[in-house]
This record gives sequence, structure tokens and C-alpha cells, in this order.
Amino acid sequence: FLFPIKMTSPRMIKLTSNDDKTFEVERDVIKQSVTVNTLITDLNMDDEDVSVENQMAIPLPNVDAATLEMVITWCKQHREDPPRNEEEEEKKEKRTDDIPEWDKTFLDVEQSVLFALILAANYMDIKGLLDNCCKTVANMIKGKTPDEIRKHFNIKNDFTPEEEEQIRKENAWCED
Amino acid sequence: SRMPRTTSVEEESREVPSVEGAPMKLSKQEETSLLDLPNEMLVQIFAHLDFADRSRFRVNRRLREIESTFEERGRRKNTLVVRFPAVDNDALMSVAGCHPRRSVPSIKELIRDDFRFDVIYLSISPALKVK
Repeated sequence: FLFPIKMTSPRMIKLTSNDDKTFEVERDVIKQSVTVNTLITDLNMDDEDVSVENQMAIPLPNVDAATLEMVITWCKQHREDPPRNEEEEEKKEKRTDDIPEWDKTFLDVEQSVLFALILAANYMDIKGLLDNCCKTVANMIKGKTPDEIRKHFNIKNDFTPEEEEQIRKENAWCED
Repeated sequence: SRMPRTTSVEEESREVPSVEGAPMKLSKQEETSLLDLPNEMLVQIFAHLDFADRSRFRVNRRLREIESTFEERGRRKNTLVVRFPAVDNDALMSVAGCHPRRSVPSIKELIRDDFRFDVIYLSISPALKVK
């Protein structure tokens, strides 16, 4: 006796960027975004009767296509990660030397791309990505003098001469 | 696969591999700078810096204001760092190291009395924890 075997393909979700590009992504991959996860639940999109063709795309008005694509790539890479326990994460000592090698390479991009990723990770509520992006920026700051930091991030010095002198005095202990 | 670096501000577009692998052209991405991040994101970046790097990261008024919020957090975490002109950090670490059983307020008193500082700030530093 032969019984038909029902082949189940992974459930797909459609996401649309603010520049109108639509991406199909596995439900299991995008579950790392709390924002998207909540929308899927609230809109009953986990209903098995709805095919991906008939499914409404979730608009992400704060994320452009290039950034969304990177977010999806990151989520694919980290799909097997255990769920984060935010209480435990909060208690942990803040370190920046524990970024996974894959993430270090992935986040080795231009500053504007990295900051766009931070904004997207924050908006989509993807804690792991946000954390590793912030650690990457922190590593860019570490060991630099104020002038080097200003130059690296193109930050204008808006202190008055008096304020700058005050900061310089306060920082005297940590200057070479 | 990772996205290629953009090459310049003037670049009209950048090419990235699509999810399916075929390259596609994307419109010019708006340049986002560090100061475009909201304060809550900057706080998260600050939180990954030790006290010395946080101090040096006060490179404009906004960043100085954000850094100043860390002093209260430091008190809550019972972590002691003293910030004052011309302070030798090694010496301060020695003070805390020599009195590991002292409470934070008593170490603060000790430093205030022995070193005659007028102002003592407490803040977060993984290097200087007082039991």
C-alpha cells in the first residue's frame, strides 16, 4: 500500500522595504525579529490556509532594501541560535571581544551601512544583531583619543573653549 | 555572503547580491552617521565602553550629556570609579584592591579623606569592582 506523503515546504513571509522591494523569507528565519513576529501573530499570518502568493507583505517603512537584505542574511546565519534571555544578558559583564567571527566579517562594512543596520535592528527588534553592531562600533571607539574619534566618525566639536578645557582636565587621568 | 563595502559618498548606486544570489542594483542609500542614531542606541554603544573610553568619547555636547547618565547606573551596580583631574587610575585601583571588603560609601570616604578630592563620581567600570 502506498500512502501519499504530504511534502511540507517551509512557511514563507513577505517583507517589503521602504523602497518597495519585496523579500520572501522563511517564517523560521524571521522569527528573530520581535517586531515582525508580533505582526505575524497579530495578523493571523500563521494560518496555514493562506498561500504565500495571497499573503499580505509586511511593510517595513524604516528599512531600505539593501539593509533589509543584510538583516535577512544575518537572520539566516543565526537561525539556529538559542533564544536570548534578556535578563541574563543584562547581568553579563559587557564585553566586545565575543563577537562571532562570521559577524565580525559581516559587519566589516562602511559606517553608514553599519549605522543603518543598527537602526533596522532596533526597529525590527533583533537583539542579537543590535548587540553585535553596537559592540562593533564600541570597538571602533576603544583606544582612540577624542580628536581621533571626531575624525573617525566625522563629529563636529561643538564645545565652547571653556567646556573643552573642562573636558580636557577631566580626561587628564586617562590621557597618555 | 556579505555585502560589499560602498566606496564613496558620491557613489550613485551599489550592487549587492540578492537573496537568490543574482546581483541587483539598489538606489543610493542615504548616508547614516553615528549622530543619526537615537540616544537609546548611543547609550547601548556607551555601555560597551570602559570608563576611560567613555570619558574620551565625550567629543560633543550630546555625547557628554549621554555619558553623564552613566553615573547613576554605576551607583546601582555598586561599581566604583573616581573621575577627577590628574588622577592616577592605577593608584585608585590599588585603593579599591587593598580594601576589597569595604562598602562603596566607605571607600568613597577613604578616597575623599586620604586623597583630598572635592568631587567623586561613581560609574561603571568592569576593571574596578568593589565587593
